[in-house]
Amino acid sequence: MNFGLTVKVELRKLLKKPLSLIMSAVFLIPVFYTYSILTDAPLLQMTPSGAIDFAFGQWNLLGMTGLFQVLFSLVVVNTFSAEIDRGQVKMAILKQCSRKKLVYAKICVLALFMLISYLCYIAFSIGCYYGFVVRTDYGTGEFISEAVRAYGITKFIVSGVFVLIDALVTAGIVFLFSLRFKTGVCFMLAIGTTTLLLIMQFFPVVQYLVPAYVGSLLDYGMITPIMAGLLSLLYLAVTAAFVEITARKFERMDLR
Amino acid sequence: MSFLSVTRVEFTKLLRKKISLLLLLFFVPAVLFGIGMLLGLSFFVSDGGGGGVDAVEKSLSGIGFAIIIMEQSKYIISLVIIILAAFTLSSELENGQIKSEIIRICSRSKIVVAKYVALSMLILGAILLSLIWSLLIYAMFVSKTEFANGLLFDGLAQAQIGYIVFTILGIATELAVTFLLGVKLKTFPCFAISYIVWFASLYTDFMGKIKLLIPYNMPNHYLEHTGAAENGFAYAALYISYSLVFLTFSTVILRGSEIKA
Repeated sequence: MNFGLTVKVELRKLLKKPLSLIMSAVFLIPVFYTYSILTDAPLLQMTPSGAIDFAFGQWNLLGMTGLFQVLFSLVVVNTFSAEIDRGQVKMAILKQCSRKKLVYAKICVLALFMLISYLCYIAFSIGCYYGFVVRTDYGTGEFISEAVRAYGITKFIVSGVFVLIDALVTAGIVFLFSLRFKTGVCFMLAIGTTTLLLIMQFFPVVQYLVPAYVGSLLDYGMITPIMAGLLSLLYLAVTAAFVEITARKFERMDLR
Repeated sequence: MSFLSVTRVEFTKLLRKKISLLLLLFFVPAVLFGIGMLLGLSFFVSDGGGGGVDAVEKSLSGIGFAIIIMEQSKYIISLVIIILAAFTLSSELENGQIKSEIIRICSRSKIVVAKYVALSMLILGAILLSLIWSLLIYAMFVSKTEFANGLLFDGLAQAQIGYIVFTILGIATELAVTFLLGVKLKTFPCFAISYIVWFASLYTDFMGKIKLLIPYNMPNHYLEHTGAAENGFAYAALYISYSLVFLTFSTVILRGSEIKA
């Protein structure tokens, strides 16, 4: 089976798993904020915004809460570690392809799934904006506000991508854990890693190891886009290294 | 087997489980904050700007310090509690371990309630120990700094004790919710949905008076109103009744469910 087909099979499997549906819980954030605006009791001090500002603002808030990262790490554990534990991965290897290819396919599918969740979240937030917020004092009715145009649309959107990189780094670490530990332990380590990354943002020096923190620095204009780009390349390289180590070890691993 | 013996068995089981070691995390924030305040590290004592934690007031009493640590640890405490509750009931139901207990020990409802009581006792013990630990850290590191007044209690003592009591009642409700979910769901979905329910409760602060029907909002409300929150006892009774209702539903649902061996 070629790599593209393996990715397709894995993606279909992931989308059909009931646990993947938990990612829809992230929509709670725009729902809560929209509802609070409608009842004129905003959860944060908010200034009137355009649709894109509102949507990406909601995304940044989600990144700060850690909900996306925690739920995504659960999906990651369920995709790799749980399949190894249940022996399901053996069938995939027999029917589909080499072990290495399977690991690559799984991480690609997870990245794709993450991207789909991200796009759905932005679309949902824009929907909330045009459905409800636009009629209140907190909506200017513009698609992109003047303030964001002045700040730079690309910079504004790119800062949100760091939350995704954060989740991807966690996925790489969870992949490594999956080879050594059972699902339950992996699950705890995944939650532990996510929490650690959230807490590390408050400590000097080590905070630069957390992609989401670099995203917030970019958002506040405290770091240049070039520096942020270099750091994101570093995070992606680390994730790639984790996946490569996992793939190599997985090839030599005894499967039940 | 009597209910007391079943609870004792469950408590011993919990103590021996490696997952219970997660409770040690309750003790970490006090050390970090205590040392941070002693050394005047800016990321602990800042006003919240530049990524710092807006955590420290001046002239803290011992109990005031313990409350701040409890407030800062809320996320970790809730996460650990949901994990423990999911693994105590849902995981045992998923892998069939509970069947041998039912055959050997007693009825399903007794086991669920015993598990709940044992886990509540363990968590309550950990929270009380962590409070004592915070007071020790305060005495050792914080009391001599500019952030402390060197007293054990201050004028807010009643509100602070109310804060602790309502936090514990909130935890009891969280446990009961996770148990209820755990009866029907597997470990992962049970954790995920319980976590989402807890997360959603964080965002109910804007709901006017209704917010007090949600246990999560009460501790801070009680503290902000310096202990004069209306009908403190009535709200405490309400939160206890939540736990009882959720627990009753758990036992009723479990009685009607098929358990795999």
